[in-house]
Amino acid sequence: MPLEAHYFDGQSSRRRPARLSKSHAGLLIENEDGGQRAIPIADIRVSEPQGAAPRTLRFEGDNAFCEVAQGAGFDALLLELGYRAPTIVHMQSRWRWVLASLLGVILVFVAGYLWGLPWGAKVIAPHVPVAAMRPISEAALEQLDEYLLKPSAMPEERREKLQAGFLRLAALDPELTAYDDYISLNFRSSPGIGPNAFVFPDGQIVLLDELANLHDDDDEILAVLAHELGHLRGRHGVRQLIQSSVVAAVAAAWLGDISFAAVTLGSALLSSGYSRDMEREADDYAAELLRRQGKSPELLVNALEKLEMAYRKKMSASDREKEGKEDKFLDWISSHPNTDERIRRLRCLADGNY
Amino acid sequence: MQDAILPDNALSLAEHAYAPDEQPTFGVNTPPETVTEHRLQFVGSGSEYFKIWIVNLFLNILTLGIYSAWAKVRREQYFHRNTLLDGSGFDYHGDPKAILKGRVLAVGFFATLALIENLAPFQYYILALLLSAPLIPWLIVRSFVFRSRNTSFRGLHFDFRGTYKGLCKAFLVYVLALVAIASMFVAVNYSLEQVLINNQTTTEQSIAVEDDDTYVEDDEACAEGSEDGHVYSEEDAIFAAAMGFLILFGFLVMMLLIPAAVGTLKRFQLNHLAFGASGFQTRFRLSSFYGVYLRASLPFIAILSAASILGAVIALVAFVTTAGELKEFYEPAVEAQSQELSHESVVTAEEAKESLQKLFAEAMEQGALPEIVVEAEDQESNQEPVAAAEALEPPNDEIDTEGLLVGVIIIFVIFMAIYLPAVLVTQGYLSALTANLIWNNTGLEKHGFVSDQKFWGITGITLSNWLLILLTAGLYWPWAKVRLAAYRARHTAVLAADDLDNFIAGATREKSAIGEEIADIFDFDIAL
Repeated sequence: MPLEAHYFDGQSSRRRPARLSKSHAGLLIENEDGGQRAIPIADIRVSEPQGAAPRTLRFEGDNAFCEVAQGAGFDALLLELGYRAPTIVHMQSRWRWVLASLLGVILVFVAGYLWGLPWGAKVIAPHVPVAAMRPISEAALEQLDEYLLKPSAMPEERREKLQAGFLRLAALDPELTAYDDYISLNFRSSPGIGPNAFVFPDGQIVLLDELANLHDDDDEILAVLAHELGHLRGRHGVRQLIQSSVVAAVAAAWLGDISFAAVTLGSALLSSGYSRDMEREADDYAAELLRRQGKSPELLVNALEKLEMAYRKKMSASDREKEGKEDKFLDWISSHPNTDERIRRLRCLADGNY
Repeated sequence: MQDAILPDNALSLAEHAYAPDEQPTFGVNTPPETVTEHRLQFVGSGSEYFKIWIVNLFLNILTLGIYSAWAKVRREQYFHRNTLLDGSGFDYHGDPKAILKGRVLAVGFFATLALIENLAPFQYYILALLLSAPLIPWLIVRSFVFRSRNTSFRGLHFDFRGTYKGLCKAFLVYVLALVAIASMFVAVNYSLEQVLINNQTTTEQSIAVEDDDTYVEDDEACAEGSEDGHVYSEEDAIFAAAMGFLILFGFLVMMLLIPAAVGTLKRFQLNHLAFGASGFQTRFRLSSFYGVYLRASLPFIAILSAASILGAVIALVAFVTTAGELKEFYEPAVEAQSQELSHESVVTAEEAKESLQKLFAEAMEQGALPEIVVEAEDQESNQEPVAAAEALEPPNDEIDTEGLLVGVIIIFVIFMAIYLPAVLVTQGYLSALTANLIWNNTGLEKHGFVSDQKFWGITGITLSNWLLILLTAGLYWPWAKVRLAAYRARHTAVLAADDLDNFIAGATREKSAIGEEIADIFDFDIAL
């Protein structure tokens, strides 16, 4: 049974009704005034199905073509002509493949985020020169100084002692000489942040009075600084930076340029703080540095316990209930190992695994 | 016969006699009596396109992006073939291999730019400008050529006959204006620097003379001058103001040139576009683009003013209800601050103001909680203020950083909820108005066009699309694209003077994808 179609000669926009059928010579096209044209099967190029859109049959070495409506008649003709759709067409038209692709895409994104990204950052980070981290670290410290940090009120004498202890600590690891130009201990205070110390990717370390005041024993403070040196040695800051930039770039490409705000929020949520692994790595490193000085990793345990106590005290009884939930959530997104776990690990290290 | 071979949904094609009140502009001035309006019709569906899109995306990932050229051809074919005019579909003929070649070259181009940035960071901007400025017109022309030659309807290909030279000529006025404004900026910058240098040398001289004097006296000298201690004459101030005005004027001129430049580009694009051997002709005036931009900015202005008024009312209500409490705990703090300031040898009004601003900023950061910690800037003179601060401190004396975080999130949400939709609505409306202006004033031989996109229609689609894209983490994207394509097709029509049978093919020429692919990455808006 012939199939109704439209024939275009490729020379003009004229649309002519035509009938298509299979003949011994291949595809037979008949127009309304009886004209005939046969096309060998090998020369026929069938368009891929695109939803409800009409299909086209183009002919090799010719600008002419036929336009045909989709339907059972056309499918039957294709079957007669022995047409086989490319694999990709099967994939696009079956939900099973579509779902598999969707799962595949999600899997690639999740796996890329969980493993690929940290791995890639770990590989690239050692090749990033320390000097390249200088401007971004300077800018970050400036921002903090402006909004959250205040000058330290620590007496000069104690500062000098800590400074000397810190330099002795850093000198223990020859690998840290890469940071020689910038590595420094800076003193600040911040009632807002509370007891804390942090390190910038170029080697500047900031110690807050609030943390120093928790400890009578300077060795405990130095244990915390050794932990920060561990972040530096492992290039955790650079790795975080690489990871968050990649997340931002992928999110921007995925959601389009419009949702830059969503991108900012998303990447902030996905890359807050160091990972559990990085914290553990820094703990192990600190334990090793302390051991080289003939000190016990127990010092870091003590420091952590005091920090934890200070943190618990900070939450007054009245709002502990309210904040409990939020903290759980924040804890989860920041992916920090909880302090108890870290203390247990360090105790194991102190008990002679080393 | 004709109906029998068309897809079912093509039967509903709106074909009605042309109503005289929708007076179109024809390329040729013989408006025939028997004009038929053929609405474009988009017969694709979101779920169909989703299947194509997700499979292509997965293959892109598997092939590390090499497949993207084939994916692009499938995407273009889906949208071309599902757009029907008088029952026949458009078609796309881009060659994936040509596109891949273009993409490789585009990546090479950007790698070169990155390399230049690494090797010569200081000369980078000049080099990048010199390298890309002559390239931009070429990219535009090549991408118009590639797109049009690979689009066909009823077996005839479109063509673009514009040239590099033609585009440069059309934009000569704007380039000259831009160069003039840029050189003016450079000149202004230079003369301001001269004034600054002159003053610095005089100040340095005076400091050299007063070298033996005490610091206090030096400070007093500073206090008499402006904030940074330099003494500017009245003429200098007038000169600086005049320069500032010039800069403002330059930016204003640049802004005012934008609608005309966009109009010029659209005119260049359409006047050189051809279907087969027949060329399109436009009749719009550049001045009409000012009307379009003005109208498109109205919803933006309306949304932002409504939001500002609402914000002001809320702030006012909050202030009235909390004014008493605020006063109680700000007053002692302000006193402490002024006490601190009185200890410094010389205080300029500027510095005092700054300190107060800082204090209030701090208070705001804390979410206006009563824990204000007054702190001295200076290590040497901080005894008294710290004592005052200690007296002020409540027992629980920590700044609420979580409060700060919540504040930032609230500002972020407000931004997301007001500014972004305003931008999206404006962009959508601007593209709708531009399409209306262009197509209602364009002809092809004796045929005309109609575009009647409406504000509420395009706004509804734009906003719901982006909302759903955000809610579905991007998975709604294919549906969004289909909805927009369907709306645009519904609101575009060809006013056919006959049965559209009489176009003939033009000469065929080569097609290179290089321009289009680089342009693709630059994200030029080259859609018709």
